[in-house]
This record gives sequence, structure tokens and C-alpha cells, in this order.
Amino acid sequence: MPNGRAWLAVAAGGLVGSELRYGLGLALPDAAGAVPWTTLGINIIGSFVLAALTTVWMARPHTAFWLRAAVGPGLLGSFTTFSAVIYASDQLARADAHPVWITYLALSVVLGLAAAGAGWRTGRLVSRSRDGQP
Amino acid sequence: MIAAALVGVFGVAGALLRFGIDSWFAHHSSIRSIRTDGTVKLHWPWATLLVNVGGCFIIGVAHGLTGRLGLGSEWQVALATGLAGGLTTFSSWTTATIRLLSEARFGSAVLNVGINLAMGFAAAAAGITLAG
Repeated sequence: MPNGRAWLAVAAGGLVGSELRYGLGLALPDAAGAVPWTTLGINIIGSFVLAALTTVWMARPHTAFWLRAAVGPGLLGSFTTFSAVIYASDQLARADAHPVWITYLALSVVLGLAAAGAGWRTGRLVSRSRDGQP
Repeated sequence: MIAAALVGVFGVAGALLRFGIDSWFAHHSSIRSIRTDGTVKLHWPWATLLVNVGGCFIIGVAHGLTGRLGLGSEWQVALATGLAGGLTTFSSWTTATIRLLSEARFGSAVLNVGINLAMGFAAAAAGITLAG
């Protein structure tokens, strides 16, 4: 199991990620009955950054574990949310807002995966150019 | 102000629980990855599925439970935005799916998307029914 420093790093990252998500939700509140754009944006940004860092860290396996834990599972894991997507979709479906929840869910999956795919490639390109490989 | 503090405390609890579950799965799959017949066990994001389904249940329960216990709305925010939000993760789910695609494991990738969604909705509905 991970050491104490890694747990502390996840706690610190988790605090920042949760408060960032909460703060963005207060600053840009999702309107009732509409697509929750703020949550969608958070999940797209988080997917891109985590995928990019994943391939960068694959190329640089000596990156300190506590640092990866703070940013990956800590910050980005807590910043993005799956439960809010499912709960909002469920509530929209119960309110018979079927086009809205279907649009939201489709955008979340398609744009989330596209962002992660783009991040994955970007991370690879960045680590290749930095290591001087073609 | 109280809501922000509660989101922080519960968000950290959710993140630590997710990290613990992730580490447990990583530890146990690494033990089992070397088999006597020489086959290597393929990774599959079980830990992310577990935390996402668990978090969907918690967010489903949160609304009804806080109302029933007569707790203020800040406790609903603490459970839904803090605990369930910190426990579940969208970025690991999408990144793990891209990783499966990069290994040409298309069936596993489709399954990872479908099973998280299906079980997430079922868990949220179960939580709403149970607490409602």
C-alpha cells in the first residue's frame, strides 16, 4: 500500500479539486432543466489533462509517486465527477426532459472520450519531443 | 461558508476512499498478474467502476436522507458534491477507456463505458428509492 506522503498528497489534491468544482458550480450555476454545462466543462478539461499526464508519466516513470498521486487521483480525480452526471441525467429523465438528458449524456461520453484521446496524444507528443525522439 | 468547509472535508474523504480502493485493486492484481501458466492477467478498471457505482448510490441517497433526518441543505451538498463527487471520477473513466482503445481492446472499452453508465444509473435509482 502507498506510504503516508502519498495519502497526504491525495488529501491535499482532493481538497483543491473538490473546492474548485464546488466553486465553479457557485460561480457558473447549472440552470434547472437544462444541460449542466459547468459539470460538462469540468469533466472535459479533467479528462484531457489526466490523459495527457498519464502518457507523460508513462514516458517518465521516475516522476515522484506522491506528486502523481496529488495531481492524478487527488486533484483531477476529485475535480471531475461521475455521480453528478448520472444524478442530473436521472433527474432530467424523471422530469420528462428526454432530449436534454440524452444530449447531456451523449455530450459527456463523446466529448469526454474525445478530450481524453486528444490528451493521450498530446502527452505522447510532448514527451517524445522533449526526449528528442522523432 | 459551512457548506464549503463540509464539501472540503467530505471531498477529501471521498478522494482518500477512492485512492484506497484503487491501491487495493492495483496491489492484488499485481500479485495475480504472474501466473504459473505464463499468461499475464490484463488490467481492467474495476476500482473506478466500484467507486463510480458507490458514489452514484450515495448521491441518490443524499437528497432523501438529509430531508428525512431534518438536516440542512449544506449536508446534502456535503454528501452529493463532497463525498459522492470526491469519490467518483470521470477523468479516470475516460482515460482508462482510451488506454483500452490504445491497446486495441475495443470490446473492453465499450464494456467499460456501458457498464459504468448502466450500473451508475441503477445505483442512483436504488439510492433514490431507498431514501425517498
